[in-house]
Amino acid sequence: MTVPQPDVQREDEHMHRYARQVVFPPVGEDGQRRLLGSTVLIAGCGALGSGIAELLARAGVGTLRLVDRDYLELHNLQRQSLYDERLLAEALPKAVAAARRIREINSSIVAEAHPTDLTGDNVLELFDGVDVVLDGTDNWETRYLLNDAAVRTGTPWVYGGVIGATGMSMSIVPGRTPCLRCIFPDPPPPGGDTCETAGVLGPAVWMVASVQAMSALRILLGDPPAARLTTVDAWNAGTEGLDLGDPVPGCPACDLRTGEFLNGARGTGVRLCGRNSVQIAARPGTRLDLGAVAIRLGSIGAVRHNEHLLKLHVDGHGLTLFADGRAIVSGTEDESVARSLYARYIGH
Amino acid sequence: MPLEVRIPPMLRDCASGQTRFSITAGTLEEALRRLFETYPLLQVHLYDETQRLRQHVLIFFNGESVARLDHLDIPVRTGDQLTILQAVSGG
Repeated sequence: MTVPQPDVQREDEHMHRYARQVVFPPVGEDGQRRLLGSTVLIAGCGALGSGIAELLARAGVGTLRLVDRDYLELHNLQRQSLYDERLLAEALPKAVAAARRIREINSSIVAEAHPTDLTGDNVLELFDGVDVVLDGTDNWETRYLLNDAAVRTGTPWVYGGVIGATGMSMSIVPGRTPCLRCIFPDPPPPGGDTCETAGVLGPAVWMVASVQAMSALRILLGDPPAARLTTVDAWNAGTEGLDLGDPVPGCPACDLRTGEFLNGARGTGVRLCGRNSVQIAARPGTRLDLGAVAIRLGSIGAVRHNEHLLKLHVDGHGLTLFADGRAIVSGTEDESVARSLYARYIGH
Repeated sequence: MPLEVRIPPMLRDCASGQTRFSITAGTLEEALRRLFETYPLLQVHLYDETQRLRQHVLIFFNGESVARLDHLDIPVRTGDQLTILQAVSGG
């Protein structure tokens, strides 16, 4: 975090713009200066990422580094609040559209657009100079990668997830609180519910994004929240905080520091597989009930299956899923498109 | 004593469409046993083939992770809560 250079006129403008939060004692003028001098990485600019980015931009966080691998689509507009029909018509990458919209909301801060897939090859570079990382992703592989990178660099990060009308969030401060793998040692197996198969409601997104943004502000202000898992039930207007205790001895990420997701030893193996198709491998030992997956995907697109494989046609692509979790995505040679489709419909 | 059980909405089909319901038991251990006797499909979603809690599942008893409890022979009192959570992926 860097403290901005003194500029009396600019300082007056800032304190006027942010007057309603500067007057809140835990923020104050010193706190506002800290926010203005801070950099946050928003990993994923979908539903949660949109809400988080807007809240932090309006709060005057000085630099937002916006990373996303996807392009805007019509069905995003129901809950991804940064975007509108004008941006959709330009067929922009989400990171670019988000940065443009953030600059319209607050032209006095910096919005960096990074339309790229977060991988072990670029994550440490994207973490450079970052004070806190916000999780706006929709898949476990990227979250475990963020967790490894956070442990490696000592950067706090804030997990968030949402599905249907419920969600959850937890702040992770390496060395002080449990990390993601202390709480969830391994990702859920593929084949579970995703927002594409189970749906997701905008108010639930905003509740989780608000919890995440508030956690980030507290971390930036030097008062990080306790190690708690906050659960959100938007349908019944309820939240609950569950004590997470201390970091877990023997945790492969934060105690043993294996960096498995960072160095590629764990995670989805993705590779080009012949002309116009990409293969995605699942972790060893995965076994899927393809019949159950077929039922879940029945409302999404055309599905056929037998005991060995399942074929889904959706969004102009073919997805062939095998019982060991491996999939071949046809209709693209872009690995990030294949990852995105797998995360959306199969889950990871 | 009745224990209030809360499960994720995504698992409501495993519990006759409910996300909140009561289980009557004398101890936490008995409550868990009765829960899975009553709703066996719930156990399939929460535990693997070796009867180990799946690694993306959390169970809290009165806000305390059951995994951190020394034993499950804890008397159930009126108002006690059992909260079952799964890691949430969407974003």
